[in-house]
Amino acid sequence: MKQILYIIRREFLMTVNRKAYVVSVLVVPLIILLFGLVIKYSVSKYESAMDRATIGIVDETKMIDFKLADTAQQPSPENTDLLADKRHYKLERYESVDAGISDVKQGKLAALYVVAADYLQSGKVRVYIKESWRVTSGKSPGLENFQTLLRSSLLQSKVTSDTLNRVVQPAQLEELALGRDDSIAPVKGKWQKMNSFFAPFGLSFILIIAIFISTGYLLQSTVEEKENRVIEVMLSTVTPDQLLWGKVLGLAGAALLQVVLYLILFSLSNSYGLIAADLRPRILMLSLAFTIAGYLLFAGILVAIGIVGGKLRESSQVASVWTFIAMSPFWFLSILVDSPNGTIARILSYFPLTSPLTMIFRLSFTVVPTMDVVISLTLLVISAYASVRAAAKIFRAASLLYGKRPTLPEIFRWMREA
Amino acid sequence: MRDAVVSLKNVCKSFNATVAVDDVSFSVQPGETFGLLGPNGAGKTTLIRMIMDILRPDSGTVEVLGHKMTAADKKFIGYLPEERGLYARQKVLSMLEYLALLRGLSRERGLANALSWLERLDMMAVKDKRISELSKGNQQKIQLVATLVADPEIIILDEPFSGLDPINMRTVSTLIRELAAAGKTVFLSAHQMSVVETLCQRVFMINRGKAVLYGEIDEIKKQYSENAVLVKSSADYDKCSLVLRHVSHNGSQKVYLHDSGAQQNFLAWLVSNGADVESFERATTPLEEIFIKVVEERT
Repeated sequence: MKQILYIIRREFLMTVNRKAYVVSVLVVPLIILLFGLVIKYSVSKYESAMDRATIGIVDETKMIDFKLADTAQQPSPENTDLLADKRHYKLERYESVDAGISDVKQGKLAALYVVAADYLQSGKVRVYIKESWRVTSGKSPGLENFQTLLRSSLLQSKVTSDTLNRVVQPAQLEELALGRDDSIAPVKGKWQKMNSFFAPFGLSFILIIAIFISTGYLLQSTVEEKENRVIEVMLSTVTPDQLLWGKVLGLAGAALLQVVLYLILFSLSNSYGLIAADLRPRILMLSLAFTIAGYLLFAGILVAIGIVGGKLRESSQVASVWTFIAMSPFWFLSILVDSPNGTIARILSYFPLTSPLTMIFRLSFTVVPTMDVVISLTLLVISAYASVRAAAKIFRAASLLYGKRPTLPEIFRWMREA
Repeated sequence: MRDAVVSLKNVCKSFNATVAVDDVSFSVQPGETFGLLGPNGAGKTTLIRMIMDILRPDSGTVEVLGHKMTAADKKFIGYLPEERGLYARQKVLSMLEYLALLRGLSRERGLANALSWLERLDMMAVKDKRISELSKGNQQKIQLVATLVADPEIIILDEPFSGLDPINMRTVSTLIRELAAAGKTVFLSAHQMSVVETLCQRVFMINRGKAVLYGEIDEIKKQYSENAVLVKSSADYDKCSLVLRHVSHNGSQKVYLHDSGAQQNFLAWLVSNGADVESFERATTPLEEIFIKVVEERT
């Protein structure tokens, strides 16, 4: 037992001292966090920018009532599009198209709208914007404000002011969200709405990435030991099972440290309002259980690949096929989001290679039936146990095999005999 | 005879269609220096790996310390594999400490042993270097220290001289003699038979997986030696009726006698004939020649 602890300690320390590990653990989430901060800062700056932009309007029809321009300055409350242009626009009358174009060029105007003389018949409006101008929604700057001004001008003398207001703003929405526990609460802000999708997704992603980064280290460590020929020294000192479990658990420790650090960053982001994830202990515990079992399953597979392959490049190529299968639930992401308890979600949850990712997603998005969790976790744990047991047998048989690639029947024979 | 520390009975091992070890039996006694001899590819390393429980025999039994090897027994054995290998990125002292810990030593004892061996092999200067920074010769010596760091009772050395220069070969030979003198059991596998015959008391010779010779070196040599003596004297050997023929041999005369027990009589004849005898010794055949002779006889 002591030997396993020494191996765990060494594998853990050697891994956490790797530059690649430090980079992946600290730098990557910091970059993501920084990126999040920049976006958040940009969005808040964007949202709070009052009178930052002006649009010019040349009215060749003389139909627009510029006294209404003030009421059209606000961004439309109906516009719930997350990436919508939410700035306030000052609408200014321009007499000359040339003067307007000149101001657009100089950056004084975000856009110049020219309402054609035959507008009432043709609906034609020309918009001049800078070539470099890009608005996230893809619309011309201030288009909605301009449209509000047009609608108001067209209808003000023809309908009552209430009707006019309803034409301009047909609905004042009060959005209510139905929670998992049957609660009804006002929908959170738009930023938080976006996070309610991205945060669980991000958390799942973190856990899955931790599995693959750590099993990647396991593969590397196994191949290195075989390539360096140090494996024979190790096998003369400890049993193959001790060596295998020491490696698997040592690297699991490194992965766990990575997950914990990610979760701390995640929680810090949560408490600072950068993200608004619904981190419930049950979901968190189950997600961790799926992560650990998933790690053991892939650890067994990757150790076997590493010890049979013996060359890092070749082994990594073979391992990538398995990683590809494990990552395949990403293809079904929209189905999983739309129907997290549907047939496809269930099939992917019962298949051990895809169950860790699928179940972590499902747990984030919905209340998964207990039976689904039990079946999925049981199958995954059994597969993980079988995977590590088989890996131990292959490890014993193939650890001293150099230069010859075993056939599949040989590998199955090792698994039977060892 | 005391209980054997290593015992193999009718051991067979094949890799697919290749028979690596075929019905091999021998035992190693505590405190002796035992040689496993054979040409490259004879099956020596396979035998050692089975003793170390790294490989399992297809049939037959392998016992270490009187029973089938267990995980706990590994700490009593120091093994220098033929395929040398160490953790390239790790520093020398830290790696030796790690191996000592794995073999059941305390951290302090492991460190003390490691430092003592490094000192003994004049390797203190490299203790804080990474293995990858060492020369091949120094890596070999560190590998030897790694074998001995836990003060094992049984020391199994697979081709310990390969890749060593003459000076380091002498250092390792001296070390083996010291270990034997300290009461350790040394199991030595090599293909340089001339070196082994100076170090071992008993040998097991293997060729193509099959036993060729097994026993005490002196007995084997006696058994396979020619009935001859090496003499340097002033006598005229043709006048002696005991002499069959004689040839010059490295400045002496190799004198072949009619009867196997005639050496004493021949010496008496030399003395009685007033010959000036400078040297007189039994002519022995090197192990290598005996090995070749036996293999040729059997094929």
